[in-house]
Amino acid sequence: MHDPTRRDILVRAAGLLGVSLLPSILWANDPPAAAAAPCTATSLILLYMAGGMSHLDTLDPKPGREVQGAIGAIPSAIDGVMLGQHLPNLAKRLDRCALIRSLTSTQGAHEQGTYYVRTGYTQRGTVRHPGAGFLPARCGPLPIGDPSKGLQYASPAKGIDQARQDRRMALLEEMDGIGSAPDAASVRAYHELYAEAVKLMASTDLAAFDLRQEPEAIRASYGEDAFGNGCLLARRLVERGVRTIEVGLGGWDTHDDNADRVQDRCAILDRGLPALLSDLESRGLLATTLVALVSEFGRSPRLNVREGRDHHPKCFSALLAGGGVRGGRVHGASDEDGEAPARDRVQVTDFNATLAHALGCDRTRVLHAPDGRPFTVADKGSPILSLFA
Amino acid sequence: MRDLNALADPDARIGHLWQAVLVRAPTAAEHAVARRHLARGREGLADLTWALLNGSEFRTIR
Repeated sequence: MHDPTRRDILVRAAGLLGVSLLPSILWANDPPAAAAAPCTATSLILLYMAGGMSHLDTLDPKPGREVQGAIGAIPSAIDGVMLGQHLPNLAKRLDRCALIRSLTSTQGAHEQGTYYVRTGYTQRGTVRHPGAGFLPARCGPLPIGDPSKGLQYASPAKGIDQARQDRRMALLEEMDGIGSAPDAASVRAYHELYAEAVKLMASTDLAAFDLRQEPEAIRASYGEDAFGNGCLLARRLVERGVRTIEVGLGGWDTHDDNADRVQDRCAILDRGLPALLSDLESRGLLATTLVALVSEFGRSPRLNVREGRDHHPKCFSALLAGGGVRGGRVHGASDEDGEAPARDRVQVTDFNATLAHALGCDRTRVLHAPDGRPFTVADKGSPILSLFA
Repeated sequence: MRDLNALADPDARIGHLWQAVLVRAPTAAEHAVARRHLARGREGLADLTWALLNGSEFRTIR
């Protein structure tokens, strides 16, 4: 394994999820020999729709069917492909995107479903699969609570100039050298993280977190809510070479009042995502940036008594754009009511393998947990190679 | 910190600081480092306190 460069570490530390799904020690230096298509993606932006996004009301509407409920369907830039009516901006840019409409999961609860999507493995007892918290702390994700506030507490304490900060760090190192803390992995991990944080304080990359540097028109196009700001921050991080960024949009757990709540979520999604795609494209970054939208499961076609939809892992949808994925196509299909995949069923592990393929990760490399358990990226999933052709 | 400033003798200051943060006496090596920094007056004392509070021992054991 090569020594990580400062950039490597910064990049990994700045990823929100990436390290969990795609640890950089698995990066292939060369594209895998078995690759059926060139892997052009250097960054991944994962848009995670937390709570279980209703596929019928967003990416896989069933116009004319009784299950469709109050939210209608609109045509899109892909001939013959419709989207939920509250995604008009995305519909206009759908020719840049590939839809997967036959995704299926075995996990019907939020935590377990999310774990499965994030790691490619189902939860089993106390086993920790490769993901956040599995790799050493220096590979851990860096969570940003409010993207508009950037990376908080990253400036030196008031009245402490750089010379004094350096003197303090030297003193700290000297004291730790002669101190009596145990030389345990957890102590070393904390130490590494600390050193990285201090380096970041003096880094010019810190400017990436300052969204005020963006023109007002750009900020407005993304929507100045947490998700829009997160998408904009993701683009700024991609520009600085960050490998993986996750931006979350919650509130999709629409057991009650599905139509109103989905409309509300869509208003946010339909600003941030299309703006992100346009912005990446106009900067020439879309070819090397894979944008992936996924959720832990879909929602039941049948509306419940509270006009809501319940968890539905059997069939749901995802969206991919950029990063070598050819837009303007739909992979797989659900049956007439969106109940189950009708053809080209895609398992969660296949979806993860597709992301790994786009990013040039070596899926055959076996990674061992501390207890000796072997893992591979995306378990035994197969990438959807036709999306790249 | 007020107690610390009341102590005029540097060795007494160092002992007090170590007891306050790490609940033990400084080792000879630590004592030597501390003496060096206390020579810088109030700033040295502040830096020393900062280093003890941010050090591995305080963060992971105390």
